[in-house]
Amino acid sequence: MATNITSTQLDFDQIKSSLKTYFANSTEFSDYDFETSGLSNILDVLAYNTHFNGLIANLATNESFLNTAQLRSSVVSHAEGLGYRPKSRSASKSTITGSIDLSGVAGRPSTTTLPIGTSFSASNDTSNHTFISREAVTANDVSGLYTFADILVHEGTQKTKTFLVDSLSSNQTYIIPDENIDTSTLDVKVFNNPTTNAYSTYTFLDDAITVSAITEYYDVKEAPNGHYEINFGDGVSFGKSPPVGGKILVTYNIVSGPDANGSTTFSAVSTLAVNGVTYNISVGKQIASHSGTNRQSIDQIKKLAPIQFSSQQRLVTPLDYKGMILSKFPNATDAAVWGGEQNVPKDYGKVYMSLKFPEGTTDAVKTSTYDQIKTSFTDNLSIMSIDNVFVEPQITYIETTTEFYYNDGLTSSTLSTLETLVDSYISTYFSTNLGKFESKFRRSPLLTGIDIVDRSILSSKMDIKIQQRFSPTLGTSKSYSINFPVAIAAFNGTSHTITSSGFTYRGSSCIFRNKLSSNAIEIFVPSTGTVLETGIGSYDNINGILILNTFAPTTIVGGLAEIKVSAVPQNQAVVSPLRNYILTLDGGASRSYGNIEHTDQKIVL
Amino acid sequence: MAKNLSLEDKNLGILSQMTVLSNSSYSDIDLSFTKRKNGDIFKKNDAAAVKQAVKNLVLTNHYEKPFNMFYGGNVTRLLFDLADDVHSGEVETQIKETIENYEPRVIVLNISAKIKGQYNSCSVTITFQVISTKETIILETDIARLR
Repeated sequence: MATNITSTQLDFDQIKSSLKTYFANSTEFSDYDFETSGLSNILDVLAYNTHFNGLIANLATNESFLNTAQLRSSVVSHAEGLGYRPKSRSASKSTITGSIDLSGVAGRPSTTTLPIGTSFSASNDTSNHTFISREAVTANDVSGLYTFADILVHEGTQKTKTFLVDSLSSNQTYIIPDENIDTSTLDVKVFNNPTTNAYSTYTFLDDAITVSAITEYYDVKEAPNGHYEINFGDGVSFGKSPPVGGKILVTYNIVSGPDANGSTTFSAVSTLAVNGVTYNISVGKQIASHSGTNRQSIDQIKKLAPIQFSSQQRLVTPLDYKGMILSKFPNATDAAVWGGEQNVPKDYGKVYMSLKFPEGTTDAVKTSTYDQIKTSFTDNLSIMSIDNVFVEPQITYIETTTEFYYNDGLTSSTLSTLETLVDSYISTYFSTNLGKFESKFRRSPLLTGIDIVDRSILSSKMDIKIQQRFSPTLGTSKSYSINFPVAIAAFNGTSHTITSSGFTYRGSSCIFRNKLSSNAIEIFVPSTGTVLETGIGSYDNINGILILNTFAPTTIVGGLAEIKVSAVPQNQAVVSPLRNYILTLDGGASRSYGNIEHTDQKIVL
Repeated sequence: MAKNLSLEDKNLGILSQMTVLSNSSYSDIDLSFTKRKNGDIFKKNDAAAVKQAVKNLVLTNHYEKPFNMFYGGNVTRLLFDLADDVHSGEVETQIKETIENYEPRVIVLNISAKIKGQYNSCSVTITFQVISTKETIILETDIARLR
């Protein structure tokens, strides 16, 4: 007979059931199983108490580990223990050109400077936003016109907090009660006393390579309530402490994050004073604002903190690089990193990096990010004599040809409506599941989804091709090497494994393709059905490489900039790209066909 | 008398050990929690146990029992309504349905509720029969507001 009460359950009913089991093995009281009995009421109290304590213990235990914590404060705290600092919001940024016109003004200066903090306004589809210049820009007098080129502006509103250093405690935390600050805009000045104008500008701890007792740095981190707090060194061994009786002046920007992205039509809010006269600033060239982000989510912190911890602030493995890039540069949405020994062709002693940026990111922003990665991180943290190579992501398009069978008695939709539904589903599937580095295309789940797009769809099948694009030099004979991310199907005698889009060659509108039963490439004229030239190249199906020799098209059909090269992959069930290949759908080259299945018709799959 | 199942039937889990009482008596804890000389609290047996259970059920309000919000007679709620609005038949029906829903050991024979508006109280007399013993019990209770 059991004498112990099982107490591992958390659910109220299960706990009460355990208590009843205990009484079931006792002859003392027999009414435990009647809800109306006094004993049942006492069991209710006991079970509720156990249930409540169990839940509290369970929650407390869950919050004790990074993987299971649910509260942001717990996740941030665990990440901090791993040396990871969750990113705050970041401001949307843009680069604009401004000018003032002093034509005909006597005694105008040879140069004038647009100060830091000059305000501009801009708007996107949803709201108006204020942008502030982040650096002073000087312009020369050109016939009275002063043009300020490349003014870097950040969205946000500047705020200032003043703290007096308490004489009773030299090691204090200074609170900034706002969740929406961009910590990268923090500017911390320390004054020896509240009346002096002399100050020291402290630097952010993350930018420090070495820290000593006299290093002037500050540390900022997210507080449990989501606000931010600033700390300084202890003045003994780990950084300089602000002097007792001194003053700390903190300026920072409150930003809207991604809500301000896409802002255009900048106009100056501030005016510029020259020789005591104020002038309106005209805004010329401008680009839409970009790179504003929200602060990192709980899921992002859970993913990135262990990666950064494993790197130990050193750049050794590809994951170290990836963790560093994604945690330090939120404007990069994804990153792929591989060693030169894995590159095609092999390139020993180098680290290859490929970053994916949001749509509309300019080349200047990309170059700036690459430079920051190099100067701020890889030069200091990576293994000596290892060089960096930044390469653009390689887009591999997938062309789908889908055929589905449906019962027209089970739907009121027309064939074209069903085909549109299937096309739409395929497009959604690709945008949801692909478009990132290391994302694999799997045909089976896509077909499973197509089968339930509409209840009338009975079955489906799909042929796929992978497609690379290249821009030939028109009118010049050159060799080209086109790499596919996976192995290509071997040639056969009935269909062409390699086909291209149209181009003009020797005055004819042509395509190229592989010869049947051969890996040789030939140029073919579809309108006449004749082969114009053979042996202009070949393909290596195992390594997925197409070589074109002395290829000299004169124009590309449709006035396009690129020729599309489609290939049947060796394995159509899964396309697993390596390195910097990103899979996406070529909607224009994809098509769905529906067929009515009659009861006397057999389906051949 | 405890009966044990065979080895082959042990996978029946907790049912492998079954307690079978030699008679159908009821025994419950006495909710007055009065102490006996030996330190134990008193028990209620048979009809007394059932009577205590019925009284307990009728006097329980909705939302008082954890995770079983509509358990109970919910009678005291009626004391907070205007006396003009409450009919004795309404109280009787409510008590009868509650007992039938939650107390399988009895058959309700009669319920009489008398609302005493001037005292802000209600007298309830419940006559029921304990199914196992055929014993007829009369439970009388007054329900009144404390303040």
